[in-house]
Amino acid sequence: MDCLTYRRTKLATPQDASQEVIAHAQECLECAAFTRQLEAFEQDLHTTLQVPVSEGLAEKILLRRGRPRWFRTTWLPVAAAIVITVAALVAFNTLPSRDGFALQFVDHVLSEPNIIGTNTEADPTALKLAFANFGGQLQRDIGKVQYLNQCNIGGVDSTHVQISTRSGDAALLLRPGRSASIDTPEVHEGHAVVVVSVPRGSLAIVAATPQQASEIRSLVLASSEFRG
Amino acid sequence: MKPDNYEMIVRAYSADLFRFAYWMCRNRWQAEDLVQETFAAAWRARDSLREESAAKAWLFSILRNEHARIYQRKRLEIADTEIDDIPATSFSGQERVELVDALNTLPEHFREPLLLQILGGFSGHEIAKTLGISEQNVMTRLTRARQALQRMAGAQSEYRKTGLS
Repeated sequence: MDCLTYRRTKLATPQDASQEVIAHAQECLECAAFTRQLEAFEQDLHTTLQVPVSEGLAEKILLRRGRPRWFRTTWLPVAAAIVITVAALVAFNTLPSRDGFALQFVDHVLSEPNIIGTNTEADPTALKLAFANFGGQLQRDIGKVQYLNQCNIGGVDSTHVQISTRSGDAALLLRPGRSASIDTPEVHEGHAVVVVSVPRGSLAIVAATPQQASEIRSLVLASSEFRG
Repeated sequence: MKPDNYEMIVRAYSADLFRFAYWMCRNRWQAEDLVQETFAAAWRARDSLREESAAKAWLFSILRNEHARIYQRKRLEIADTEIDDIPATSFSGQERVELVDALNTLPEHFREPLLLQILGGFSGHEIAKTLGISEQNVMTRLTRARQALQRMAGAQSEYRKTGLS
């Protein structure tokens, strides 16, 4: 082996330890020196190339198993869009499932059985004030206010009014926040409920029958004006 | 390929593939992405791997294809290597910078076989198969790659003194 072949061989494969290569290095001092320099360079080159690997890379790969790029790049925005949409629906009180919404008013009435049939007269001006707090103006008397208090309905501080009207007794529940409207009475647990959307929330009317609920709703709407 | 074997292969080769990818695209995040994409493609095509002893070469081929697909199609900008990514060597700081610069400027047809040899541990014959060129051509490229690195890394005057003229 001549020097040129030896050096080309070592530059291509520095780890080459064939008999020919070893024999030439033993015979040629210049090529032996060349080899020492090359080995030093090679060691630094190897070290330089050994960049640290990202932590947990193998676990990330195993978690992702088989999912193509589009999945990783697409599912996050899609999930984010869903979350944002749901949040927006909640924020703007337009969630379509109103059944649960109506039920919470009936649940509240059932949780206070002592209020139904109360025959004590409450301050009628308090009802006007309660309507005003929800963006409404009570223009005419709608009946005898038997009870009026602040109650927790569905985790929200609300106004509970028990009233006796010409169409029968009812609970008027003014709940701030979500504004929803349920015109056709829903019956839950033997009570009928309709909900009127008002500027600052919802006004639920809970009565004994669907007919009573509808009539009292009409009475309330005819006797008041909501703006906002 | 069974899931257990896949896990074994991931653990065995992900580091080598990451380093190869890093020096191909010179960016940690892109390299990580490239390796993840490589293994995802490997999992999807696992039935095409006949012998698991050939898994390493197979994975490097997939990575090269993914790299070509992503970089050539999207024409992503190739970044400069961050010097902080480079492990400490016996070089001085300036020598390290010069070697990294030399690696960065080394043409891809020289750099790729060199990386396959050093990081992949492949023989000339295996590199030739991966790159689709002759083994003689691989040897020539490896020789020229080291010559070019020694020439470009200005601090390596001692190497140049003893290198091929």
